[in-house]
Amino acid sequence: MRMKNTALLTGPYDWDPALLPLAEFEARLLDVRRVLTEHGATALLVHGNSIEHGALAYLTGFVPKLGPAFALVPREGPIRILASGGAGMMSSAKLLTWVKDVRPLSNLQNALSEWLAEISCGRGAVIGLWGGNIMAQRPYRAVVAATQLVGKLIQLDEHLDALRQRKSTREMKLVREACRILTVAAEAFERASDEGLGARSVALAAERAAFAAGAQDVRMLASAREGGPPLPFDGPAEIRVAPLLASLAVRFSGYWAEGLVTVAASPGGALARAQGGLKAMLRQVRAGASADDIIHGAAPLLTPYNSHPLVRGAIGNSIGLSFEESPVLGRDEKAALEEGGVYTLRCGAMGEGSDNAIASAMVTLSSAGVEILWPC
Amino acid sequence: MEFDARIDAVLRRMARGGIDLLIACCNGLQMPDRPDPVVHLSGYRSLGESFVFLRRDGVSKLIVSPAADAERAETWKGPHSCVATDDLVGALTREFARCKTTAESVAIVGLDALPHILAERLLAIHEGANLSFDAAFYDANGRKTSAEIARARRAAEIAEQGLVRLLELARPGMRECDLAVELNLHMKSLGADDNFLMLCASPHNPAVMPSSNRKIERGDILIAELTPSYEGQFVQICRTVSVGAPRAELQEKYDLVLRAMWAGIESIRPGIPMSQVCAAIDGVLQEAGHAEYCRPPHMRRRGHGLGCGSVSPGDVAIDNNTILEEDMIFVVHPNQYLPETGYLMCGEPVRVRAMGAETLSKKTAALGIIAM
Repeated sequence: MRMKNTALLTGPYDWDPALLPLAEFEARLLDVRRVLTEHGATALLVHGNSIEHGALAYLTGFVPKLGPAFALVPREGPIRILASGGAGMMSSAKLLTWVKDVRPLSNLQNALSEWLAEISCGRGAVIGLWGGNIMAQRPYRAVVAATQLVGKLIQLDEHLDALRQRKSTREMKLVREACRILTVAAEAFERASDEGLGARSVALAAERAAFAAGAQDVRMLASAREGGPPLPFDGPAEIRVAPLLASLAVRFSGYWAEGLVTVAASPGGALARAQGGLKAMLRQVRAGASADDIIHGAAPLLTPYNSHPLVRGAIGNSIGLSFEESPVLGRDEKAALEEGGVYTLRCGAMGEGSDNAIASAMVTLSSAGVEILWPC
Repeated sequence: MEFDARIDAVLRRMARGGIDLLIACCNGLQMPDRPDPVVHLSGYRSLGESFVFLRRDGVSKLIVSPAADAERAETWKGPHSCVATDDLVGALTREFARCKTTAESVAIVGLDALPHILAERLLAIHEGANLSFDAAFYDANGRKTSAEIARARRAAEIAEQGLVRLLELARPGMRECDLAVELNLHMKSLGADDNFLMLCASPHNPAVMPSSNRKIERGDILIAELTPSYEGQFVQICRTVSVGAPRAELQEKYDLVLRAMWAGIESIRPGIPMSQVCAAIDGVLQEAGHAEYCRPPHMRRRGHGLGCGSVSPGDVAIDNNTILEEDMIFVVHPNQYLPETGYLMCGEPVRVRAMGAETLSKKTAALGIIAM
């Protein structure tokens, strides 16, 4: 799912070692370097920007607020971060990460070339790239220009993203807290809707409740008409909507939780079908289950309703430091659930007129079985 | 100036450049000081990557992602036809086939901001396209429409009410980030749909920075850019607030920066290059003995255009020779680092009128004070 991007992140983003201690990052760095060794890579460039920065945040905790940022990771030795913003802004950037060497990204090609020379990257070097798929054209050209002078650039997303899929105990604690805040937001959302507020005020009440409960970021989409799909708020119009469909997302210490809700005083058949479909999907959740396995039991329960357009492209995905992590269920061919993973699963039914509904759940798989993280 | 006139101006510029098809690209991130050609041509603010295909005969098409945004895109399409898809490459390929143009007569605007994989697919489909049309595209018409001007006025009101709220809420012990979140929520409640809200505090700020978890302290100088967007039009006011009674030196230096700002604003009129506005600001500070701080690394620009469509007339910078026209809107902010006080901020959004500048904010910058 796509949420509306925000011009500037403003919540509490400074690195908090009490929540994610240095030891957690050191363990991640060891795993990443193991992958580098396996692929013969001399060094790794990790990219993120304000829209998507899961890989960068995983390794460094750094969340780029102003533009692209890169972690420069040698096979051995300290990491360097190049962050958007002038030299005077680096004191603020340094608070976001455990990495000590944070510098302004002024001329990317020069900065990369200098660093590659510093770590003695000679001819024939192999430079790994992680998080590069979402890199904009201009910085990508600079990366290619700098790395082709010393060797070749290889994409390591598939191998390194796999490290992110299995959540650690400490990560699970943060995910659970995000889910708790999501519950607070969803309850506030429902309460405000019951009070007869317009969709914009309903969303704002939920957002306020989520921040008060400790959220770092909150995003919302909601119906602009009765039973309409969740959309961003384009204007100040305050429209009372029922049924009100919404996508709520909250973030705590980097970790996202997502929930689809339908609020209706007199629910039509769609809501029962969406909820029934979701329950059927949850019964299929197990390690190794594919999107087809999961949706198999749900599809007949939606009849005679259609599947909601919101879930036609994908019925869920891994979720964590990115709102949508791989695998995306229903889009990635080989996608299957894994033990240790955290997933959001979505179901929706579309009937006549405004009789539409969506529902979702977050789950985690462990050796003990399946745990539903949200609704709590 | 109305929206149709903007499209006509772009079409005339295309004809002059021999361009049969213009492709405007957007990455889904709308910012106050970066252009978004899709918004400029359609008003649609996309969730994901999106494109406008504009043919020389005026026929246009909006291609947006994700597919889930179809209903919203439909309401924004205006005179365009529209498709919402999760398969942008497929949609682009089909649209190119329909357009039947030669590569040489295609111009692509906004390519640099696209994710490189999508940008390269686009280039592969139309190798040889004109990639240097961005400046001509925005120069074709940098004026705001009457609707955008009305939105800018409302955004300025929201920004000013944000400042009132800031003065009510800010106090020692409160984290910068919590204050920023509260202000964002307040401005949202007034109708803002986004906000580029930079806010930080310190006894000596090296620059304005995104909010951190630092707690505000007595004796801090709190600086903020309040930049709400109202229906897609960003406006910015820049303010400085003393937490506790200000030192005499702070008031003195702030008055200097204010004088510089007003020198810039009073120099504005149609027909002059933007560089002249910057020179007027620099002149006041240079005369006061701060020439060193009017150059990089201390100073890059004294303001900028306000998107999220076109950010014409660009930066208030000494090397920007864009000629000002009526109904251009930009922010004039000297925002100066001075060794005695650190970074100080004052800035007003202005509209170029026939006789000079109209400030869109009603209560212009003055040193704010949070009484202890």
